[in-house]
Amino acid sequence: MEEKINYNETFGISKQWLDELFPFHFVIDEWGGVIGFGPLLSKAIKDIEIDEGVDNLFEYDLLDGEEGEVDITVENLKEKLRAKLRLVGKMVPFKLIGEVRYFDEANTFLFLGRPYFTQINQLKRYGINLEDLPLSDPSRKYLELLEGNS
Amino acid sequence: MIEKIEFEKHLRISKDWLDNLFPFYMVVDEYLSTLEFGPLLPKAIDDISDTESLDNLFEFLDDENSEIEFDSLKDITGPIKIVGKIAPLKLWGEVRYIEEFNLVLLLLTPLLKSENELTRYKIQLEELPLSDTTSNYLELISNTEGGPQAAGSKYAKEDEKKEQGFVVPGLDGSDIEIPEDPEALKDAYKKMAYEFGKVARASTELQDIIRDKTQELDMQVVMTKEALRKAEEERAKAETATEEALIAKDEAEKAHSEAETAKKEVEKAKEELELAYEKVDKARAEARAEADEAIQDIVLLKNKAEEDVEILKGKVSKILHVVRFASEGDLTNKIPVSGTDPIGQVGDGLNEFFNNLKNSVKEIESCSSALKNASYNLKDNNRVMKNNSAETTDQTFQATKASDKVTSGMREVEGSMKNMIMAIKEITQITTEASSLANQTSDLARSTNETITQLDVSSTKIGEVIKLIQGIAHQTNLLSLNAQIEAMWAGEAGKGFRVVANEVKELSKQTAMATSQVESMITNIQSDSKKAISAVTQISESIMTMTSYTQKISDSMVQQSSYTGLVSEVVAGASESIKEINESIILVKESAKTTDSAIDTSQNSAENVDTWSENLDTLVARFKI
Repeated sequence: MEEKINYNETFGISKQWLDELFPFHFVIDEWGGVIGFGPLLSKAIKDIEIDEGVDNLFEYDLLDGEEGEVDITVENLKEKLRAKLRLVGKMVPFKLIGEVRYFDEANTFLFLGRPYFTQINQLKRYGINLEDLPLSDPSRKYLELLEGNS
Repeated sequence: MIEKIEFEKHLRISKDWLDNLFPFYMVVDEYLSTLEFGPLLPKAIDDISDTESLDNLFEFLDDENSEIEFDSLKDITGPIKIVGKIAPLKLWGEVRYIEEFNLVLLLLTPLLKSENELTRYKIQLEELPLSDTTSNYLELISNTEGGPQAAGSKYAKEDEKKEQGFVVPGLDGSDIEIPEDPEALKDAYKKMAYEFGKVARASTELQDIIRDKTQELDMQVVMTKEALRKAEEERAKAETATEEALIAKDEAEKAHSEAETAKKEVEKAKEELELAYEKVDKARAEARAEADEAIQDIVLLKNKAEEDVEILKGKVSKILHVVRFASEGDLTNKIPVSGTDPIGQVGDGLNEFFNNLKNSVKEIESCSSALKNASYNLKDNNRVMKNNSAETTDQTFQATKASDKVTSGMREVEGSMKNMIMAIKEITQITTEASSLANQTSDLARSTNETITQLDVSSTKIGEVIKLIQGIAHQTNLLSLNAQIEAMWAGEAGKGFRVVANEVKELSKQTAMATSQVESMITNIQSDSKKAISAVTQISESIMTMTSYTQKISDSMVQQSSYTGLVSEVVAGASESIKEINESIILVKESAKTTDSAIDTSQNSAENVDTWSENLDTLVARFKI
């Protein structure tokens, strides 16, 4: 599956850096189609494909302090560029917390997020181990803390 | 050795990305010098600066708090935890060793167990990157009693329930738990059905509201369009109102002229009718006179006939026969008695009388016919005049409406002109005051100028006095020198005199110095006076220019006021013209009313003439000729 985006040209950061520091990232084009994603996202959500509509994959889990299932659209993403977003998968309830950045020259959105769970087992259900998370990911430390291992 | 980090070259990531995503990052070289660091670190650790050694700032957060060394640091593959030596800020994260440049990049994030830990370091949680989940976990822990482990367990169970579908969100945002027990499940279904009902009702209400709002909006659009259309019509009407008024005025004048013409025609018809009446009266009088004469003749004949009754009985009988028919109006019979004898003369006379009577009846018949025609023409004229009069009334109504609109417009113009005149008066008053103030200031400047000139003259005179004093001081100095020489020659006896000469010399020196200072001051005063004169002259010129401008404004205002007066006069003239038009319209209206009344009278007369003509016809019809 070939991604349709040149990371260096578009974002000024290499795909390798993003994969390593934000393995759950994904890229959306101006029509809401997913045109790139991190290695662990495809592990968590197995059906994810290039050109898949982001509104088929995720919805807002928490928006403006209100829990609710609100569809993701390009319009409401543009309104949330300076906000912390909580998303949940539509096919599997995989939760992500992060932010969306907009690159106007390429008319492209980049979601930089981290998984948000309260127990390591919840991660494991998606085939992801704690060790798979980047060392700089705070989730890694807090999951240990919540399980009393730290 | 690298002195300055080029992010793209040395780290292959921009400073911007690092600052935004890892605001606690550090770049250290092989000597542990911190070549670069993230923007939040200096807030937490005040003393951090470029090339500060990392081991002076931090140590490993382990059992022994061991010192950081480059060789051990670069080989770390797992997470690291460090703690500040100056401020006990705990950080953790990962180490990235860039072998090519022998650099270490530390990607760090604060290690916190409560929300307020960071505030100690003047950092708010909101300053952490949006992609940093630290604040979310801290919120979760702080909302649960029993510490982090209890929080983890509690939220994991809630998540599990949600994942398995035992909890669904309610309409008000609260969670609805679906129990596993069948009976309780039934209740839960009922609750959900109730929720669905609420949704359905809310949906229906929403649809109603949307429909109502759409209708309201449609209505508003239609009303707005209608209002716009009406406004456009009103504008067009207003534009054409003046033209219509003028046209109406012309038409009213034309109608008035036509009414005058019609009036003349009615008068002419009346005259003709009066002539016809006179002819009828004359004919009637003639007929009556002739009839009276004939009756007298008959009486005479009858008297004579009575005398010769027996003789003339037959002839009389014949005559009577004819006369009987004639008395019933049949004038077609002729008396068959003729001759020179009296009865023959009676027969001839009767025949002549009947012939004359026939002619008179024919003449009456002719007059009656003429009368009929005159009456018909009169009625026709009346009809035309009635139409004209109605048209005149309608046109005067239109003219009145148009004239009212024009009058209203004129009143508005008049009001605006009054406001403008008031504004001009105010401006004129202000400019007059400004002019007066400028004149006062100009006088003051002139007076100041004279004073300064006087001061300059006085300074020059003082300068001359100073020069005189300087001369005296110089002479005094020379005299004191001479006195000193003389004192020296005098030896011991001149000692006292030498002291006095010395004092005099000192005094002359001091006098020379003082006068020199005064001279310098006088020069300064003269220079300042010249500058002051120049400045006052400039001020005076500026005031003159300002006065000229004020005068121009004042003149302009007077001119404007004159124009405004002219416009007011024009408006007043126009108002007067409209008043005259209105008066003309009222006259035309009155005239139309009078014409109407005259037409009614004429119509009545024509109808009377008709009746009389019919009566005459009836009378004439009684005669057979």
